[in-house]
Amino acid sequence: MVRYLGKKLLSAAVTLFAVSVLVFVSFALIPGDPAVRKLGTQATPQALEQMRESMGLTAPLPVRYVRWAAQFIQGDPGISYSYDMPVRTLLGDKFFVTMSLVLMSFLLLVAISIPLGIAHAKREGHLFDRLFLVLGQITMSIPPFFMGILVTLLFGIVLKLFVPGGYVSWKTDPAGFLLYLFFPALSIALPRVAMTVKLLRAEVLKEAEKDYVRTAYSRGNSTMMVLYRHVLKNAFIPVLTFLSMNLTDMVAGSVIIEQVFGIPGYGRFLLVSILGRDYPVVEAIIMGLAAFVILVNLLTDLLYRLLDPRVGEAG
Amino acid sequence: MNKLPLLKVEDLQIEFHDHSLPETAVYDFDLTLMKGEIVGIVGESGAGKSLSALAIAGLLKRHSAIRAGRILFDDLDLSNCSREVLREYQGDEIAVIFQEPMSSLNPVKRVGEQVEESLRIHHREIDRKERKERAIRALESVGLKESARVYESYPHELSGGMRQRAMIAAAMIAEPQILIADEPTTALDVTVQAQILALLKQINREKGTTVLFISHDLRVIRQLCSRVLVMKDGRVVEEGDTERIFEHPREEYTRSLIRAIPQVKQKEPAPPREREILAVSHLDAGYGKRSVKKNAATGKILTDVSFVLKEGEILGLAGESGSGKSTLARTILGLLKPMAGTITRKDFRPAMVFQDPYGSLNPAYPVRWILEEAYTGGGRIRRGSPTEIREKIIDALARVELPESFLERKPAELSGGQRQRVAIAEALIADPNVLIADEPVSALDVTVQSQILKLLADLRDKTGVSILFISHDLSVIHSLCERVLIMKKGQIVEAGEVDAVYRDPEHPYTKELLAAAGLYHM
Repeated sequence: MVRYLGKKLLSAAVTLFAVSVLVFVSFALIPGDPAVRKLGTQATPQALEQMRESMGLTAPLPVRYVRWAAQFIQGDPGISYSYDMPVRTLLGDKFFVTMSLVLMSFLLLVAISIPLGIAHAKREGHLFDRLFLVLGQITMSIPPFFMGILVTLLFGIVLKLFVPGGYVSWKTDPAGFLLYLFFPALSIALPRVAMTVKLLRAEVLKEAEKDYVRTAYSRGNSTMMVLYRHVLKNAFIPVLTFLSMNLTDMVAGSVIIEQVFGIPGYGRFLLVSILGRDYPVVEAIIMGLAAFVILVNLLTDLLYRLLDPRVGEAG
Repeated sequence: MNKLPLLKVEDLQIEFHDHSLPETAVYDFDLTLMKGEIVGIVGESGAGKSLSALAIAGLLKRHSAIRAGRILFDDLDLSNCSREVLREYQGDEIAVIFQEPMSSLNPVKRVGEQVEESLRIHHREIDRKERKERAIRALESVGLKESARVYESYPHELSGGMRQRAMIAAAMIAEPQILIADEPTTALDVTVQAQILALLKQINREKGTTVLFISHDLRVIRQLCSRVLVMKDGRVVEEGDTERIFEHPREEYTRSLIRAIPQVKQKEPAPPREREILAVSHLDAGYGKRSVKKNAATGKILTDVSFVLKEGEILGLAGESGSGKSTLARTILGLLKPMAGTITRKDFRPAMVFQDPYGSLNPAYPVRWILEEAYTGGGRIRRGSPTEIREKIIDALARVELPESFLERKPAELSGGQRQRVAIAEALIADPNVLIADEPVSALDVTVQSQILKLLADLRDKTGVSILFISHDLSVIHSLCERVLIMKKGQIVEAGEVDAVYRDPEHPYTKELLAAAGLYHM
């Protein structure tokens, strides 16, 4: 297990390094001079040269990479070109907001889909099963932004459970902040809940046909015992992969929902920064996303290993 | 042994609900199990033997159900009681072991947890610590060394034989009165098979457990059971003491089953064969250092293998799984480069026949398409006009004794034996002079097996094709082959004329294999 962990950590580190090189080099090679952007096209060559010098743009690429990476590791991704402020100050809050939204969506996804999937499989062929198959199909086919609009309409305007567009900052009212996030999180989670339920149901039913289930019955297990002690752990293995893919996907997918619900996450900021060629900000966001994806994959691998002893045996 | 009836099955009928109309699978099955006896049920696939046994254990899968009859045990009709009542008996009084020891164990649970499960369910008074102790003792008693380590392992970390032992330990832990064994040795190597049979005998002797043993293999039944039921198409056609059935079978079907057991008879001496078409000398081969299996240091699987194959000869290659038989076949075919030694091929045109006629034929296409593809290499080889190709295909079918009407059938519409015939036709169609047959009959029922063996012998007689016949079954090899190579751990430990080797085996491993097949007494 320790060796496995070491191997996975190493591979995560290598991946992160590769991403960082790719990000840094691409932004360094993109045409467009940040010094010109900062001083305007009317600036004198001397002033531009001086600015480049002070921004550290004159050094060779590898040196610049090392400087950049060292700063990054210390938690300082540089100064925003557009705002003349540390990127960290600009992004810190926004990252927190987006991550809160994503994690809440994910928790909702897990909390709803797993019990529902199990209940579903238990009642295969019954009315409940058929009804939810249809309902799931409908939910699955609604795109998240439209789900956001529907949720706003139902919970915000009809039921008045929250004020649409009335975002509450976590600094002023943490509880209000979480309550407000609940509805966008639900909009992100619902279509994915339908997919996860469908997958879990199918996996449970597939496992139930296997030989070891017959063995379990032969020892006097009841149907519930067979399900909870034998089938579920096996059925979860593919579901785990699916959930982890969803988690990484949600980080990107939250951008649209943030627009619909007026949430000040990094999504909108990313768009503005790309258009304004504010490379330090863009780099920081990309690296943040990459680190998140790599972390999720790492955790998935470890969980996988815990669920399935056959993983990672030979290499 | 006190002769008390323990379990009585009366007029049991089982039906399938797979299709719209219920279909009867077992008719009027009667069985009385006396305390402490070992009873066998024998029959070919689809005879209803497993179904009857599983019905007794309350393990019919969905789409099958008991329609009528009674299963009397302990003053109770098990066929007609609630799941909750039935559960009290499952694992505690009636335990089952199955054919596939890999898939019958839960892959994600530790072996120990599975072994002690029946105790946890039925004997809640036993605490965790004692349960573990008893599980480890149970693992020990089925002959597993390092039982504490086995307790902590997962199924995939054990070999097939070890898994089946663990299954037996799990079945026996609550000391049931009846052990139902559904083809428990079919998936195992012969020597392992013999060990498992000995273990079942020992359990029966020491604990007085009544055993109901299901098998398609009459030889195994004869070694183990005192009484046997012969089943065919859902009915018991004959029943009686095992020796009586073997010595004086009453029914024609029983006689045909017994006839189909490969007999070890004195063979007619083979005609002298001159022309060598394949000579292998001091061959070393393997998958290199990347291989996770075997000799990790050198990656070598075959060591110093030498033999010749002559024109028109049927040469047997015997050994257990992992002995390197298939690696040798791959090396001869040139799919794997030798590490040392030489392979001399003279006018060597080989074709392969594989074990699994279910997996090796593409299920999406008809026989005609499959044979045409084999013949034309999927269109890459020019073989003449469509009419000529069609004639060739019909001719190949005729050689394996299948009529033209099979051309448009798909593999799913064929029986196991017919599929293996198609697979042989596929191998024959490009006119090879050597057939390499890798366990071609081990997935087939005995009567079908003997037909395919006869077909191979006829083919050799008619066309003069040489056959390298790979099998783990020594009696099959004896009935078909002239010479035999015995392989163990990548080395040929004994070679010679079949009769001579079987009469006077020299190597201890050969003796062990022959003894396991009931052909030699140690």
